[in-house]
Amino acid sequence: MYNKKERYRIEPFRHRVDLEPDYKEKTWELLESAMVAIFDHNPSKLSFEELYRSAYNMVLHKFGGYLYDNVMRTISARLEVVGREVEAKAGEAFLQQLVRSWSEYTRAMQNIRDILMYMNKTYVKQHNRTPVHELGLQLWNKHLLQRPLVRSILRKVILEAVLKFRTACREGYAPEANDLIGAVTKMAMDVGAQTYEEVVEQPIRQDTQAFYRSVSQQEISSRSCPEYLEVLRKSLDDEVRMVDAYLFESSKPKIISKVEEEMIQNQVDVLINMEGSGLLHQLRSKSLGDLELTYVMLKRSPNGLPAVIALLKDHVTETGARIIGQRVQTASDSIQVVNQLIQERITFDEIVGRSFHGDKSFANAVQLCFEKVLNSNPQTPEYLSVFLDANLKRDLKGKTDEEAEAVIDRVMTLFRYLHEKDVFERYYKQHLAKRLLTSSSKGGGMEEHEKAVILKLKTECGYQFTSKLEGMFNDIRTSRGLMQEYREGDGGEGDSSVDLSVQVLTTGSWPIDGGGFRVPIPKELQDCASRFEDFYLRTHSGRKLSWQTHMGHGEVRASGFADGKKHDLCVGTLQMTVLMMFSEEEGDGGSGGISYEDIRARLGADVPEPELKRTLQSLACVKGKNVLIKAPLGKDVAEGDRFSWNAGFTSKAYKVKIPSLLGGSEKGVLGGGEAAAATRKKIQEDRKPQVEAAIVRVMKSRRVLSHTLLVSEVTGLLKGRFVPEIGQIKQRIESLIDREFLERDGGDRGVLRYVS
Amino acid sequence: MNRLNKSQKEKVRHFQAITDCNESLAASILRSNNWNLERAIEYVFAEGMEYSNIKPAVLEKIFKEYKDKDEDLVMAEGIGRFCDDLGVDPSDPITLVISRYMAAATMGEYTKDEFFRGFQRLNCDSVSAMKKKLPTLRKELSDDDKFKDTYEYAFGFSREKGQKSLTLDTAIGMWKLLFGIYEWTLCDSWCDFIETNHKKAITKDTWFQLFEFAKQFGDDLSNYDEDGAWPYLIDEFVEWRQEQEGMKA
Repeated sequence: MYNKKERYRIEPFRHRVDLEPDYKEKTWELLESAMVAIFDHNPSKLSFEELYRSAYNMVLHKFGGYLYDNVMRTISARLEVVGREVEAKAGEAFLQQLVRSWSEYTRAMQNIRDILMYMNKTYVKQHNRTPVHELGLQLWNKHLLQRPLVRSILRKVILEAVLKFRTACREGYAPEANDLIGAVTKMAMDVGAQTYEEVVEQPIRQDTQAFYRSVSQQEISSRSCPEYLEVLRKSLDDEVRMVDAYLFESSKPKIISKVEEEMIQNQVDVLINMEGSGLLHQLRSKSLGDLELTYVMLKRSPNGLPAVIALLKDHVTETGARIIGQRVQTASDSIQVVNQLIQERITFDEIVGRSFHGDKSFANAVQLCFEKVLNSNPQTPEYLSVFLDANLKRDLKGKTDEEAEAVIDRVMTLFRYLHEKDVFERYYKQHLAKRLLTSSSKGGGMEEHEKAVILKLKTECGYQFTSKLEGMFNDIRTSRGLMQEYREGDGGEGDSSVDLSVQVLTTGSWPIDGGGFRVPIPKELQDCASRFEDFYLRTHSGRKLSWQTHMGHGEVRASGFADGKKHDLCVGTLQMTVLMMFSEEEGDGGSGGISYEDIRARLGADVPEPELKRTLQSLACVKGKNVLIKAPLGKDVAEGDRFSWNAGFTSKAYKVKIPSLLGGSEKGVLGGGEAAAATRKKIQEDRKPQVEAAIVRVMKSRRVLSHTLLVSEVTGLLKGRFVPEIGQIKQRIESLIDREFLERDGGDRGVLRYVS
Repeated sequence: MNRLNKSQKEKVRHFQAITDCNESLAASILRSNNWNLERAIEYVFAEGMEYSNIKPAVLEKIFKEYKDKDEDLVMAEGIGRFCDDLGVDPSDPITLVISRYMAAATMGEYTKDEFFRGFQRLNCDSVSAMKKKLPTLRKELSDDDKFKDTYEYAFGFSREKGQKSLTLDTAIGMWKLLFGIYEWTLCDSWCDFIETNHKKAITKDTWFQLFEFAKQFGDDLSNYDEDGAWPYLIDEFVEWRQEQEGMKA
């Protein structure tokens, strides 16, 4: 206000004005009568200009305080009268009176404020008093709304209106809103947000709670879970309409939260566990709609979803455990298990995606449970491999790439959960080897499917995981080219009665154990074999070939049956070698056959007796496949038995497959408990160097690291292949300490150093 | 001394200048540290040796008294007599302390160097002088830090020549001896556990860490932290023991 540049100020001329001695009383009298007239809707006689000047002069003559206090007193007195009028009424009349008084009051106050404008601008500001408008509201609040009798009548009327509204809603016809209630609400809000909350909102809120408490108690006992939730959904809608009709938007969450509290929060347990319709029932019957309703409604309460998740987890775990805990004896059992797992996985994906709106915490819960379930059975990796084996052997035959991919993808989602991916790899390798070597996966796009699986494994676990598997494919491909080359070259020169097919495999890539002994091949084949060897080593010098004859199989064309037919016998190497002995024998005119001891001697000492006995059994003792005759007859082969050509053998098929009998230790693909235990031990052994390599890798870059961190880093590094036990890591660390690759820190035994 | 080459002689002179000990001791310490001067000096300061100027000739005479007929070593029989003269039982743990001063590499024999070193480091010019030192040496067994030295020394000392680890029987014998002095209440339980469940040789790490374990834990294993970087064997022991306690209760 004060401008520093201004050098001169013109002081107003001061002169004393002598006032009449009763100036202030007289002037106030005038103003007071005017106010009363205004309140009585009688303002026409008054000159606004005169009144304004009077008030102005009073303030000017320093009677502002006097004027203000008197105004306040006059309004208060007036409101007392109004209050008494209002509280004398009840029901609808009460509302009308209240609303009318309010509108009159606000109009009157508008006029009074105009008259007192100067006081409002100067005196009120300077003395920090409440401006006239706010004063008017405060006084209305104090003398009307806070009147105990008015309050209680008001409360009653409001609640009656709300109840009427709700009843209409619940009974299903369109509710009519009482406009007077709306007007009262607006009045309360005009007076102040706090007054609104106190006078209107709070009673309704309390009532809402009580109302829905009784509703929920009534409904919960008589309805099923989805029905109850439907009631709830409708109640929520009703309340929104109620709020729209009678309250301000700001009250909506408060009112709704009361409904939620009573109808959901306090009933979550009852709802979820409701017999025959609760969450468990919905999950079991896979009713997506009900599940969605449950989800949407229970989401409204803080304790809702956690309870749903907990139950979902139990259910998934229980379902999964039941599937994975089934007795598995044959390959088809394990395929069954995997199929069921896949099915469950799809179901739960659907439930989470559709009913639970893809909620992340639900998806995670399901995944965690699957992970737990799958890893609770050490044989899961095996099941998955068997499943893929069956698919790649036959089930996927003739399917399109898309269909096949869908199947593979489903297996991969399970595979992802496995902790022991290395175990899977081991089985998969064995199955793959068998598929590749028996070439049963040829045709029908099977090779494409094989490649698709490898590609998926590669993206999942990295190059390292599949490099050996890919090596196996390469070997087969190279061998195919090689055989073609051989047949066109060296192969053509020799005995044309033998069609040789050799697969050259890289040692180390294939899970082939020497078979325990070297299976001898018939001497007719020995020529071929050595010719191939020459051929191969000529082009690949510096390599070493070792024949894995036990992995081989052959087809032998047999004649000399009584019916004059010829048959191709599909047999294993050892069976073939034995059979070929009888081809020579035939020339002798079938002289009483060959004795067991003789056969044994001709095969050489390499072949263990149980193996030989099994082979002879497969040729002579299996009904329908007995191309040999054993004398004396019987199921078991013993020393002293003699074998001769069974000329009476007949078969409808031209090709006869004579399966080899399996020994106790190699029964089935799955192997008995003994085989599984041996595999497990081998896997544990295989892990040792991997754990050590991981430790060294971490320590080489970190140099110094605490034991705890080392363990967690190593676990992290190996996670893609298997989850190592802490004990195993510790033992490897100690072994490295012992071999002086690592040492404990002199000061802190919990810290390790890399010794370079 | 004449067998030393020029650079070795140089090192001996250097070493003597710093450590102020006699020539043959200097040479023997240097030799045992592969003629690495720095390491030898470090070794001397770490060990806190006392240097003496005891004439090698005097020691030579003592050594001859116990020396084996054929070998240039004090063998079992000599050690027996040596112990008799000191007035101690050969199985007395005090012999471990003496051996430690000698820095004897293997149980059951002292080389000439080792024998000399012991006398020099203990500053004794006769067996009777050493006998007088015994009470002081015995105190080392009840001092935690010094006991730790003896305990750790015992591993290498009891190990069979060329072996990395300690055979189970020897380890158990040694533990019973050493922890008998240290009064570790779990010693018997530990040895039981090792005999029944482990049945393998004891690695250096396990041996060393077991002392730390014994220092921290007595009967009460409730504070044991499995993530505390203890050797796996100790983890297993704690588990085994808790199981046994559980069965009792």
